[in-house]
Amino acid sequence: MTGDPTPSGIEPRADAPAIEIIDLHKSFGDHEVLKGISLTVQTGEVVCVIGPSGSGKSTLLRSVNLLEEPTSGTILVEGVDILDPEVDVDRIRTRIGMVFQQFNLFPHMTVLGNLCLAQQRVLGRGRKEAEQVARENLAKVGLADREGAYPAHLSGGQQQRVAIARSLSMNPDMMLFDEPTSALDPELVGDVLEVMRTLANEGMTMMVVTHEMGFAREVGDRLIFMDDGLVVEDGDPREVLANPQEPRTQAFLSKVL
Amino acid sequence: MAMRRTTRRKLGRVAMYVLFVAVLAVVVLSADWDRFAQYFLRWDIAREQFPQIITVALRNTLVFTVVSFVGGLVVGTVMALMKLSSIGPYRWFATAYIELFRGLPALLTIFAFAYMLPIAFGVRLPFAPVGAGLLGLVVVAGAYMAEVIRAGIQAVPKGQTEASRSLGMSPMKTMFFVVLPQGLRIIIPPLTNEFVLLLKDTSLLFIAGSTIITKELTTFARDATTTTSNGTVLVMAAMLYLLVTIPLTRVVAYLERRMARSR
Ligand SMILES: Nc1ncnc2c1ncn2[C@@H]1O[C@H](COP(=O)(O)OP(=O)(O)OP(=O)(O)O)[C@@H](O)[C@H]1O
Ligand SMILES: [Mg+2]
Repeated sequence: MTGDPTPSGIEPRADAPAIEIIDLHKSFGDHEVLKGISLTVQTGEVVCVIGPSGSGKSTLLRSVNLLEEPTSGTILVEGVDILDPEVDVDRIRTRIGMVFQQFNLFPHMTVLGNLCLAQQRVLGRGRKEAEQVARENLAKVGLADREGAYPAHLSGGQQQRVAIARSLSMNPDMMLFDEPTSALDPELVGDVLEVMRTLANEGMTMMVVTHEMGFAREVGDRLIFMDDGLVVEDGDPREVLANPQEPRTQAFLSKVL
Repeated sequence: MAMRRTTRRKLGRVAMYVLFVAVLAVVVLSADWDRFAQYFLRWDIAREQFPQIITVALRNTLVFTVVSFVGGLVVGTVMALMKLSSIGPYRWFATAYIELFRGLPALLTIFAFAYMLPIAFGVRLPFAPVGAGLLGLVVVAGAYMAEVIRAGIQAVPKGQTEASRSLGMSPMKTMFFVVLPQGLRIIIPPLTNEFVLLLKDTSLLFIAGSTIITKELTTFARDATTTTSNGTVLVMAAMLYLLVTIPLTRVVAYLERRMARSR
């Protein structure tokens, strides 16, 4: 089929960085939460974001898949300007997996149902194919035997792993994690981090808001420290953690480490 | 001599009980039971009502209830979604609709639909004349259910919508597959209660008039009361209503208890 060339900026480009954020501002009413953030996440990179409560970490992450509408600035996902009104946001979102602190599994569906819903309704996969993809991802997060369970019958750690598998079932190009282990009992944190470590090793592009400094140090390619709506420090995790340059980073790290 | 407090309270309770029984006895004994039985409890008249009182009247009451419930559920869902819409005119329309039909007596709405609709549109709905009245009942039911459904939708945590949207599901798909199923489950007890209220409100359809085959319980009983010059059929109708409403009310109570536990 020969047609008009696709308008530039609407189709993803393989050579573009996974995420490129330029001078992002976000206000809730009079309250400016993001005050001009610029950062780039390369394909395959694992970027961890730390910072005090209220510094805007969640807002930044949620802006990348437009759960929050930025006040101004530019966000390019694989070269596509997602704030362009021409862009189909739902399509962009299928390429960006999102994992929430509170898991947000659909309680009225089984584990398998949770994993198949969007595959069938958004990607248009048939039931057989969707279930096969779902089972592969459940096996990957170590929950192959729980496909028939309802979320309420799973532990927090299991629920979060199901949530990760649900995102993976859409075959996303990148994953966003917003404090994925903060709602978990300490003994359940390890399993979830293990799954995330595996993902990182497989080359998944990841942006992770976390308080797990060990994970950031060992798995992260970069560490970003945010404070008061700005990126204060951005560098190699081991460097930033061992040798913070900014006084605000030093103050924060001395409190949490 | 001061009585002990508990003794005094016990005596007070006994006095109240004696008074209650005395009043009841006066009422029961002073009524003319023979005359009452003659007007309201005639076996021969009662027997004549079968099987029509079941196969026509009770059946129609149940059918009208189910029709207006299902219709009300559809209208109510649409109105609830409009009321929650970000589009102003939708919201205003839904608000006006809900306020209007909750503010009017249901009897008046049914009356208006039964007589104004055929004149305004020159149409005869199926089961005329009761069909137009039934539409009025659907409209009223929709207004009440809209508020219940809206509460149910709003009770679904925002994280559910966010998770669904971030999987690429559209607002419509999110509403249909994620939010509504959960919202409706939350409101099963109040919806069942709405069903009981509707069952009783089908009695208002008498105002729309009826033919022999469209009579529901109350119309049937009223007409039979006229033809037999006797109230027995009214008592029968009352008992048939209770036969359905009391178990349903129990079901509501059970569902509410179960919901409370599962929270
Ligand atoms: N929907 C909203 N409406 C109004 N204010 C909001 C909203 N969402 C977030 N905020 C405010 O924006 C600021 C930043 O919030 P955000 O959730 O991004 O911080 P955070 O760094 O993720 O904090 P935490 O570590 O507590 O999760 C906070 O002051 C918060 O109160
Ligand atoms: Mg946060």
